[in-house]
Amino acid sequence: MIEMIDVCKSYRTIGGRQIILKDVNALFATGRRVGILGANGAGKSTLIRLLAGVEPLNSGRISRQGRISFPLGFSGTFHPKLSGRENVLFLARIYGADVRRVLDFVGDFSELGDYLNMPVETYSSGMRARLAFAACLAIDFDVFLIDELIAVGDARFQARCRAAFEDKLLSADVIMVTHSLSTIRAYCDCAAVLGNGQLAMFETLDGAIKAHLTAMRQLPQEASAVA
Amino acid sequence: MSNPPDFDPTPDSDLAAAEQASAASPEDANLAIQLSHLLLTSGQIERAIETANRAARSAPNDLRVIRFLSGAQAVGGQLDAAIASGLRAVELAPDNTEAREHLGGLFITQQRPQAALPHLLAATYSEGATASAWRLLALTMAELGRTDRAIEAVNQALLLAPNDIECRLHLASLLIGQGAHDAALDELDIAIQQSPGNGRIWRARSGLFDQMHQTAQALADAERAVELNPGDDECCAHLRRMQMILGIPVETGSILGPDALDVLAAAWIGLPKRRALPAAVSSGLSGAAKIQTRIIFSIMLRDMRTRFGHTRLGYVWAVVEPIVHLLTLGSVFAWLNHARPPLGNNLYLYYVTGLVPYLMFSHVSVNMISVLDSNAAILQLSGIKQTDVIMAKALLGLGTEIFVGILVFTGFALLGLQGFPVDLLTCMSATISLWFFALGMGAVNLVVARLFHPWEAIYTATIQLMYFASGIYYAPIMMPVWLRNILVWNPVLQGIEWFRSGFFANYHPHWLDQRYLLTCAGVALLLGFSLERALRKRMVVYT
Repeated sequence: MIEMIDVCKSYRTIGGRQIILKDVNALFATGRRVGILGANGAGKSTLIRLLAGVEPLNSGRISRQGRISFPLGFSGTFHPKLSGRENVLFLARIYGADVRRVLDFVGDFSELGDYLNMPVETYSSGMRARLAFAACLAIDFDVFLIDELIAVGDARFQARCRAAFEDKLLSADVIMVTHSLSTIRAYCDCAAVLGNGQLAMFETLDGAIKAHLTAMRQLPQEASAVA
Repeated sequence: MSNPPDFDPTPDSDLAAAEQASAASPEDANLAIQLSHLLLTSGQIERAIETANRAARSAPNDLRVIRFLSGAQAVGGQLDAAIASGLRAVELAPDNTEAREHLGGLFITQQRPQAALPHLLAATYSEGATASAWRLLALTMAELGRTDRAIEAVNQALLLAPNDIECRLHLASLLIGQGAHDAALDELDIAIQQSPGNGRIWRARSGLFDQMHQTAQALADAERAVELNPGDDECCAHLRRMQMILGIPVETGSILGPDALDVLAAAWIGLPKRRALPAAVSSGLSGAAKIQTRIIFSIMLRDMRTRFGHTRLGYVWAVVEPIVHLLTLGSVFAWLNHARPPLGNNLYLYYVTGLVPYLMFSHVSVNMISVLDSNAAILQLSGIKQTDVIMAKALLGLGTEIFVGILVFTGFALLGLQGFPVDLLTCMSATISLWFFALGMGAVNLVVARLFHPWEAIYTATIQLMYFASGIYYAPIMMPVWLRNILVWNPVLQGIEWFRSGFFANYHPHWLDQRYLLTCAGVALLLGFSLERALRKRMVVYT
């Protein structure tokens, strides 16, 4: 469960202050799989970073219960000089997971074989992504944060990822940012729309998608009205 | 019987007239066939076959009669007899493609593709090959496992009958069997354009999407298929399966009738339930402290592994480096200076008792400047805070320097010099207090260097000056009073003197003021961590 209480977030940019969230209150309740929709630049990725706690707030509070994942498939935390195994070991330790079980899972799932004992800097980007996917799925997070569900590897590996992820969905919550309406429909049971500094939570997917599409359609009109 | 058979309900009057005509001249095969046809269309199949047999007896070499008999027997379910008649028809007219096609179809129905093959090949070799002949050939080839030939044949059939949905579905299924998913998808898309109301196509495309792992589209198509064919149990079961894969709760009863639910229950037992609440999360102060300890410890281990590149023994350098420093500088100064040691009986040992605490302070407070940059990657992980990496760095610095101290002083003990402090507790108190000061200064440096970049160079230079102002080589006990009165304000000198007061017997300098060092440490910690807290938002490191 993640609760946002009076959260404000803005950036200073060259063009002035960019407001991402303005006094947002939202509850990502346990047992829900929430999709987050919004136009490009609305701050969806920032929102995920805020929820993960790696991005500071301007004001307000975010309270979290349970283990929150790092974004699924994110390989940026790997140390290039450390082996895949050591990197996974670190993640397992950080999140207090059963080290043995996590390593077994990653060894089996990532299909990296002996490469698991090589420094991550020797990996191809595909191998890195596979390792990141495997590591995230190996740890029993209570909430999975996903910033765009990106397909990794060949069709067979994608199928395995999907199966493993769908398996996780049975025991974990999901907060997912994506552009793909079909992904939202496939994996989420409710959705929120981010825009104009507000995060509007919808009980139904259809409500959220309709609102999102309406907002998206209005954008070009507004632009042309200004022009 | 030149007209193609039509199956309109035959008026009884026609039937009666035909019966009369045929009874009048029972040898006339044509009349018998006409009667048989009428009987067939009115559902009297047994009698139709009987009449057709009578016609065949009177005209055993008439292709049309024999062919009709075969057809009637096939309709009546007498497959063996139908095949026998079919073979006879082919014998009578080996070039008749229609008879060949018919016979091939009969063999396929009997699941004898090998027998069907020559007839269907013959039927499709000719110019007038029909779409259905190609279609049958495709079925045969598929049965024989010749998928490539089957695809060729079904493509031929589609050339002749582009709107044949069954044919296109067949082609799609053959393509799927060959793994040509995209080509199959194209075919199904065409089929959907041609006949958007055909639920079977949507069902087929849903299955294909499922195979292609485009589960969302598979779901959409499955929904459409059920919408079009609400009574189709297989479609409903498929939809349910897709929903289950996607974890979508099914509104029972909305699309699925009670019967369908039984079908589903048989196929899908034990739908896993979404857990209601997360497992008990360790909360409260002790839980949080435990997690924090675990995280800091993990970061320390990682830091040890990565401090000096990828060598597995990298961390050994972290220990060797200060030892080399002690050996070289200590030796040089001890060699240059032949004076009596200010304390103890060895000048070198005296230097080392100053150098070990000094290096600890210097390492911890300087290394902190770059701690956020060197740990930027792991700061992207939920649950790791800036203070965690700061603490990990500081604790690792302390641990390393304590380890170095133990090694060096054990070395002295092995050489027969005083290796162990007289008062271990005092030495530890001094070390810890100095470490707190180093941590506080490190936190201040961290923040100030972020906001004011030259600070790193300024601080490093200051530390170098401190090397000579901390009483390492130049013993405070031997300093002129005026100089000492100035230098005692250096907290590092205070830490070193405190350490020495525990290490050497009977050394209790009157200028030593532990409370002064503790105050400095407290102020530095307060300042450093308040600054860190206040300016955390401006210090976010992006990778």
